[in-house]
Amino acid sequence: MKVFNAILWDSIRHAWRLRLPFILIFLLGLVLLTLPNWVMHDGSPEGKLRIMMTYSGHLQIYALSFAALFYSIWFEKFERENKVNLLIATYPVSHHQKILARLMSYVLILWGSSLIFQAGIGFLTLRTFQQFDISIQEKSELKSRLLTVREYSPLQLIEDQDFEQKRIERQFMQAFPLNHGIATGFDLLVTPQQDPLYLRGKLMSLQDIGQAQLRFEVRHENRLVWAAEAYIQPSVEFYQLLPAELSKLSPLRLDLIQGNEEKKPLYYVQAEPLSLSRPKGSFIGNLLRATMLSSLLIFTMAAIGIFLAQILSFQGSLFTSLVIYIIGSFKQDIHELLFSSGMPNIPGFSTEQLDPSTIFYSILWKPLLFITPDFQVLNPTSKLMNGEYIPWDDFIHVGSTTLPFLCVTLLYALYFLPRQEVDKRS
Amino acid sequence: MEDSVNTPLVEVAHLKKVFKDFWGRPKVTALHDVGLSIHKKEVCALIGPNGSGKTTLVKILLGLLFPTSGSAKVFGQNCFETSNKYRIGFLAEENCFYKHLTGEETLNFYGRLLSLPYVERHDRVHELLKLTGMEHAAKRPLGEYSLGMLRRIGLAQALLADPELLILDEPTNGLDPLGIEEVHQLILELKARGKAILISTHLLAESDEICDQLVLLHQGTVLAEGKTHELHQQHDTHNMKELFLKLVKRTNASHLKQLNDKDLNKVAVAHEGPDQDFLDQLQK
Repeated sequence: MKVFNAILWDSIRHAWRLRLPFILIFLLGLVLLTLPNWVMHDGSPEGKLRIMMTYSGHLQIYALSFAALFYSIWFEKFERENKVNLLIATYPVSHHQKILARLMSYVLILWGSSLIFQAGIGFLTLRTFQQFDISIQEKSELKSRLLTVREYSPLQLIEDQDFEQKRIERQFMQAFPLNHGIATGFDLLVTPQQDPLYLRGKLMSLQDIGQAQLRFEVRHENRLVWAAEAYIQPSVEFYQLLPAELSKLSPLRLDLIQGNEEKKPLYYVQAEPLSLSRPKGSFIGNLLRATMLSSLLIFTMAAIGIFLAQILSFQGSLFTSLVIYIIGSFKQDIHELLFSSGMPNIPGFSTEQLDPSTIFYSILWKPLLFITPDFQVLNPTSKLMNGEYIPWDDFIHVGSTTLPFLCVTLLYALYFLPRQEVDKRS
Repeated sequence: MEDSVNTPLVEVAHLKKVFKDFWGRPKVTALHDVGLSIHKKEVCALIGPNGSGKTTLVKILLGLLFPTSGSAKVFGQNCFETSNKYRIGFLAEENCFYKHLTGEETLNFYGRLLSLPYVERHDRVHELLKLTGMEHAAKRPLGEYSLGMLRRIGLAQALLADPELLILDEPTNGLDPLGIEEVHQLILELKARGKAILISTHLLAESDEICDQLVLLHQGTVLAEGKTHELHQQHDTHNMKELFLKLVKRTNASHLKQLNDKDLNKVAVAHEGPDQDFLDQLQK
């Protein structure tokens, strides 16, 4: 444990002396201060605050993950160049102890920076409200709500219906896995006041058809309560109003049926049962899950960085890890770009037999999609900002793609590094 | 007691190290049939010009490189055994330290890697800072240290575990004459305390002053090995420089003798045609 602590604190001290947390906080703070001036908002304190929080939250996660990646690769390079790893190898330190301590230190360093930044946001939010012409009573209420960093949270503000213009958006479904890699992102948005219920969605990709005829069936306790058919083009957002009285029914289930011109169903996809009631969960619980997801993100990025830095040069490992990160973050978009555009729109035409891109798809792209971590799920900012419940299931999904990276790094440290000559690697 | 003194701490026999290229083909033979043994209370010097294989041998003893063939044992165990690492102190040829740490923090860091308890570590760090004359710069980051100061901190680092075997790679590199003298005194003091010390150096005078035993390396092979005074008697020399030059010349001559006339002709042809004078020169 002493060895673990020594490496952990040394890495933290190193980052501190390099002013890494300060650089991170400075960059994020700069963005936070300038962003509301760039991005249009409705002029209200809520609008300004929402922009500040949403964008800075996203930027924060990206900054943390890139910092984890860059720092882990750079530190390995630094150790190799200065041959510190040679001297450490003459001490009774195992490789896995060293790597685990490093990973932990990156999470601590970056979360330390993040906490300071969050405190800064809290202070800035308070200042933002003071600038607006609102009543003294409202001001004092807001102040009391925002005075402590712990109490301040985007979710609390959004959940507060008086504050958030009595509007709650709820997302029920994320991607439908369809055959041929078609992924859809359909959300059922509910506005519980006078507004109607509506279905919003986007087909992210259609591999072998230019447009899809979809049939939506909403069921309550296996009884069909609403149905509609529509032709949907990829990447075009689809809106469909639903009868308002449906919002009184819970739970709801959305069945999505894809059919051809003869209206014979080709694929039948059944979504998870929909529930109109928000899953119960405290803000602290949600924040904890979001924190765990972000830590997992930093952990994974650092593990990728450390692993690649062992086998590749600085530039090589940086490039490869960035490719992994980009693919993991924009899986759906890249997929859409590669396989949707320019596809012939001929009924019954199968591109699978002819298109060379299909070979690329099955040999390279599909396995690549399978092995890259889903960084979109690892970024909990949107869910946290929208006041959406972060389910534990996310961890199973994320764990299945991130754990292999962590395991490979540790197995490499446990079994392969001790069998390699230290000096050769330096 | 006598037995424990006679048991060698370091035992190397028929050691060979071949560095290979990316495809696994032999590139350089750094060590060839090297053997040596070091006992307690002995100061052994590995002497040889640059590229003779000194550092490779040191790295094999530390478990940083693996031998191609032959055996290298430290404390009767394989070199890469973790338990050995508590008993060996190492001063690297280059100053491999974190430049962001101060002298005191560096020693504390390596002390923690040795799992030394806090009080013991604290006392040891201050004792070593005093011993190496680095107390005044203990709070300064290593990035601001001169070469000599870094060697001193390196020496302190090597002594942290109070090791039974001390391996010093070019210990006086970058030190002023006063510093060199201090290091020599320190080595003799450590020897008196029962430590075994292996010094790798290309400074011939250094080994004359402080070493009991010599291993002369040249192009990866051992030219001579034994007690310093015995080697001088054997080869009728008075100092290390004489001994080294004599042995190197003799080796080169024997290499040359191995070349037959055909080879000499080839060399001569390569040297602008078959010149009888040049052949004579070579044979001489």
